[in-house]
Parts: sequence; structure tokens; C-alpha cells
Amino acid sequence: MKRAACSLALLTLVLIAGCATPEVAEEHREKTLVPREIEEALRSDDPTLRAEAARQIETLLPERAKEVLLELSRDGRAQTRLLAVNLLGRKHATDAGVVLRFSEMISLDSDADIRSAAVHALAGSGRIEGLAAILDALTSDASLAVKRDAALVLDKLTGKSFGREAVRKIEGAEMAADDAMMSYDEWFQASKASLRWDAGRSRFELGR
Amino acid sequence: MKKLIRPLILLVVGAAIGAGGYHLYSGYTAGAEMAEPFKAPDLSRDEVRKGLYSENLNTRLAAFEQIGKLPEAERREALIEALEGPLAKTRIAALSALGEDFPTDPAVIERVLEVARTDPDGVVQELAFYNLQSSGDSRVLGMACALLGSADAGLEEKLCAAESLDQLTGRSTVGEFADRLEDAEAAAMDLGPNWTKWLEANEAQLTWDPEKSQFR
Repeated sequence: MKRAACSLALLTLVLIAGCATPEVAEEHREKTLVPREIEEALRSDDPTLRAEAARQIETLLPERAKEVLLELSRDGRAQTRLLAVNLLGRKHATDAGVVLRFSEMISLDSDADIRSAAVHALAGSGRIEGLAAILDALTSDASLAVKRDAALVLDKLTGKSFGREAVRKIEGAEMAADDAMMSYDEWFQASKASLRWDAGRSRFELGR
Repeated sequence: MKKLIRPLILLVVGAAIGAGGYHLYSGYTAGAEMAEPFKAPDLSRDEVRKGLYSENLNTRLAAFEQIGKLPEAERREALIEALEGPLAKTRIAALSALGEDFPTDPAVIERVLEVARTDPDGVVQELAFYNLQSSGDSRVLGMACALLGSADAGLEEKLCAAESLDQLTGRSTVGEFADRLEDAEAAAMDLGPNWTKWLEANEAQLTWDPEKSQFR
């Protein structure tokens, strides 16, 4: 009897799942891409499509994936370059040409997040020139966030802890920025209705 | 002194452009374009309007130099239009002129707010933000707060935003942040030589251990 009740409950659940709305069913269905769609999909503004292309690229373009991704790493859009770096880092980080491209991006890309991503991607390269490029990021990058990431990766790659103090201080500065923001946000929300511009002193004063 | 560098740079750029020094900036960057000494053609009002966002350097120079030909309202409209120019140089020159001549004009403020939020060029955005600090519009405070909390902004940009907020409100919150940032920068700077020395001493013996994903 008990067994029959369980089976009935299971059957009921299956029936309910089967009656899921078309939208839900659609959402869970994979979009199967064809090879010629991959590049465009990786450039898409649709995050689901980009994720799907990222998942399928190595399967659909086994001979060309690296080449396509290297090309996308030069795209005008930061979002595309970032995706390309992450995908190259996943499967092609040990390739000499890819390591060279990551090194170029560390030196030249205008976006700090992309330079950080290239630093992290080089962590899997196993090449000395990768180490040199990460060191370059540490010594020359304009962004402290990139330097922090370079310090972390160098420590991880060598088992050293040279970077611990610098990373701690950079994170301390980031927390101080957050504190300053919260202090101002609180003050601004409380004061904005009564702020008056003092043109003589070129600043806002609390009105009386 | 370090904290004043960015506002000072913007002031110098803005003043140079606003005082008709546009050709200094674009002359420096134009290079080969400036093959001959510049002789400004006499432009009509319509030519001045259109010339502001011309891609031709000499036309732009002439237009900005002769912008005084336009009556005030027309001049303002022409400069606002120039903020849509394809070249960052044009937008910078227009911002500088707007900042000098129309700092508190409501229509100008609305447009400059948009530029500060959306212009694709970082220098243009910064100059727009700088202009807004003389506008008397309290939305600049909200914008600075947003920059301070933004995940996309670097620490140096955040420091500038915090300094602007302190300047605009008479408050003093930036001290702790500035000190910690300075410490962080010094620590990062010290780290470079340590690693360089280590790598030079050990590079020849390093081998990659794929199991541990480390150099030994």
C-alpha cells in the first residue's frame, strides 16, 4: 500500500513537471549552435547565447577555436575581449602564441578587468615568459587592482608569499574607499533635500 | 601635491582650450596635419556652427576661434551640438568652452550630465564631471558617490571622486582613504624589485610542475 502511494506521488510529480509552461520548457532546452554561428554568438549582447557559444566552441570548432578566440581578443568591445581571454585561458593557456597575446593584452589593453583576466589566464601557461608578463603587470600597470592580482598569481605560481603585505594594503585601500562611499551616501541621502549652492565658495551648504 | 595633479591637468587643458589655446592641444596631437602655418578663413555663422565638429583640423580651429560671431543663445546651442561630434578633441573643446561661458545653464548641465555618464572617452567624461563641479547642481554629488562605489572604477578614480566630494561639501572624509591608498601604492612599488631580483636569480632553474600548477 505504502509502495503504491509512493508510486502515485511520483507519477503525480512527473505529470506536473510535464505540464510545465512552454516558456519554462523552452528556457531549459539547449540552443544548438552551428559552427558559423559561434563567432557571432560570442559577440552577442545576449548573455545566454554567449554562454552557450562559450560552452560549445571547442566542440564545434575543434581546429579553429584558438584562432577564432585570438581574433576576438582584438575586438573593439571589452565584453568580447574578456570572454575571449577567459576561454583562451581555459584550454589554450600553454600555447606560445596565446601566451604572447596575453602578454600584449597586459601591456596594451585599456580595460583593467581584461588585463587582470590576462594575468589570471597566464597562471596556467607553465611558461617562463608568462611569469615575466605577470611581473610586468606588477611593476608597470596603472591599476592597483591589476597589481594586486599579479601579486596574488606570482605568489601562487611560486609558493612564495612576497605579495601578502601589498595585497593586504591594497584590499585595505579598497575597504577605505567603500567606507568613504557609505559615509557620503548616508550623508547625501539625509541632506540632499536641504542642500544649497554657495556660488561664492563654490560648494554646497546645508540650507537653514 | 599628488592629489592636485588630476584637477590641475584638467584646469590647464580647459584653460588652454577656453582661451583659444585649442590649437596648442590639437597642434601637439595633430602632428603631420599641421604642415603649414594656420590662416583662419573668415567663416559665416552657419560655417562656424558646422565647423565646430568638423573632422578637418583647420576648419575646427577656425570655428572655435570665431565662435564669438554667434549670439549667446546660438553659441550655446552650437557648443551643445558639438558635444555629439565624432572626435574626442571636439567634445573636449566644446566642454571647455561651455564650462567657461555657461557653467550654470540648465540646458547645458543636462547635456553635460549625460556626457559625464555616457561618453565613450574617459578624458571627456572626466572633463564633463569637472565642469559639473561648478554647476551648482547637486546631482554631481550623486554622480561622485556612484563613482566612489563603482566596481568598474579604479582606486585612483575613486580618490578623485572623494576629493571632489570633500571640496564640494566642505566635509573631510578623504584622509583615511588617501593614506591607505598611498600605503598600498608604496607596498606595490616595493614588491616589483623583490620579484625582479628573485626571478633573475632563479629563472634558469625553474621548471613547471603541472600537478601542482607551480614553478619549482
